[in-house]
Amino acid sequence: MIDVPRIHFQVGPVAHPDIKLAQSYLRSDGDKNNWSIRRFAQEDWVLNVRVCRTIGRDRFDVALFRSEDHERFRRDAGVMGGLVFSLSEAFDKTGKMEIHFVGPPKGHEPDVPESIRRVAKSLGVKLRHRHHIADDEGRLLYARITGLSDKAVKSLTERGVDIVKACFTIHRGLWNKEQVELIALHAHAPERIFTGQVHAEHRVQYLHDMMVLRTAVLAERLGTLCSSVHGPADQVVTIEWDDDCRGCITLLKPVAWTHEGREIKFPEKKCVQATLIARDAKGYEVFGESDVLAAGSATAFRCLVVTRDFDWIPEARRVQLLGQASKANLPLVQVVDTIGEIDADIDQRIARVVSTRQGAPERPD
Amino acid sequence: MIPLQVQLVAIPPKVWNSWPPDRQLVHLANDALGIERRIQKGVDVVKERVRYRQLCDWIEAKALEAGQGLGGKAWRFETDAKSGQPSANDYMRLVELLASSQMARQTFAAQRAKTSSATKVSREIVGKTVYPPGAAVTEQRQLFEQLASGLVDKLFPQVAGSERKAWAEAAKFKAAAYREAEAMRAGMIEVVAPGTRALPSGDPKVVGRKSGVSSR
Repeated sequence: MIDVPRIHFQVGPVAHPDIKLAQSYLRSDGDKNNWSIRRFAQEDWVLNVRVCRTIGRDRFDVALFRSEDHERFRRDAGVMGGLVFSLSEAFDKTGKMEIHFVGPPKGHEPDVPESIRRVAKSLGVKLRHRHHIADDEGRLLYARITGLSDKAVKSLTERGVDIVKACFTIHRGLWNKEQVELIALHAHAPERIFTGQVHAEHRVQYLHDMMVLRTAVLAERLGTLCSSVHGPADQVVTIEWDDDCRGCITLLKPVAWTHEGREIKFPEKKCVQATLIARDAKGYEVFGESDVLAAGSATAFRCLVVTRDFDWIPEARRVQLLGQASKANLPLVQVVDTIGEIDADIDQRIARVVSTRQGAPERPD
Repeated sequence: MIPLQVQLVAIPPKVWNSWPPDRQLVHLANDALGIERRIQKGVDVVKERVRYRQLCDWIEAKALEAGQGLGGKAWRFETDAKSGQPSANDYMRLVELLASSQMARQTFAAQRAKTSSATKVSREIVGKTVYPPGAAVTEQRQLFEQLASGLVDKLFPQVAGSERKAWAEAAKFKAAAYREAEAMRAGMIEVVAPGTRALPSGDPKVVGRKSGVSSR
């Protein structure tokens, strides 16, 4: 394992030879050839540096692609990160996942880099060409790196959802992988969600879709809440879904916090059955009791996750529900968002699904 | 399959016209129709959709309140239906298919054309949650009565018989509720909400693959 240098963003130019080499493109060619330097960094460690450009809206070139491993991250994390971002950018700019590698005199990559070939092989993708990754190879590679389950891929394919589009939403940060799994396996019409056709005026269909999406957002908020205790760098939250859209949350480190005098504790490396129910205040008032009963019926670690609207239930009813939860020894986790805020967030994500104008969520150097 | 429940709440005319005190259901339902029309015309669609969502959320919350203690009557579909009752998921699936089926649209549109009505009704025939008293409720009752008595088989012959039977049961249940509402001259509001199921004992059955991605 080779350590890559820690980047001090405020201090000035970075001493690493690959980054120096990448920066030389800007000095030598300026804007003339539209070369851009991209880097993939995690926790201030640069894992991948590359130089790329788009010619018209037809061709995506890479002139430099360098990656290094670091002991804090899995092997080939830099190659995978760099590849995912390059493929996303190629898809965004040219509409296809074709990457051309440019050798001398313009570039430093006469062939597809060996590191990419190695990763592709380990993922079961054979690269046929010497100088470029073809569109079909790129698509397959993209889906394999994203790592959706076979079940989810099958479900999406059966419903006519372009698997690349689904993966692209993950890498753009619209939905995370667990959320896409949930949508693929439990939404009535995943194709509506991935094509932005979730319209409020088709009210029943809209509510049906929203129930799954609200569950997905609640799970994300719960993950953020758990990560905020130790800091996101040290906590890893994994989620698996059961048949009833309950999340089985597993944490790398134990967490505990107090909310309004109630202590909430989650153990490490054990499945916590999270029942995620997003309702408005009236909904909790009417259906809260059955929510508590259902969530509290498990023998394993469990919790009930609710929205901020829970605060606005009439006080007597709220105390009654809290009492029931406490009696069942059921932690009641409240996220900071109201259902209205969650819906607004979902609307925004759905709208962004149809737009591919924005580049990959990455900072250009 | 996400557990869900659908409540059909009949609101008596007196409550429909006079409650809630600040803006009554009768006006709120008209507002919803107005927004639908503006969306159809393409007027400020993004904002109108947000308004529509908020308005329907409000109407449905008020319907739940009315169903609890203001003389409203409620029928409920649930995912875990008791014996003899249709499942909420069957009902939702039927509505989704009816809304997207071209043949169903044509059938319903032809029927609507035959019955002239002065009452304002939504342009979409299925998939709404607010049905004002009068023509809208009657239309729903008629449609679902027909579905229960063989129209499901005609519209979806490619679907398995057991599934069609379950849908016909759901249609029958809804038709009965709307018949009663019609007799009361009530308006109907449908509330679609998450359902809950008791957890099975033992290890949870998990679908999907475990991932190692950080929550960030």
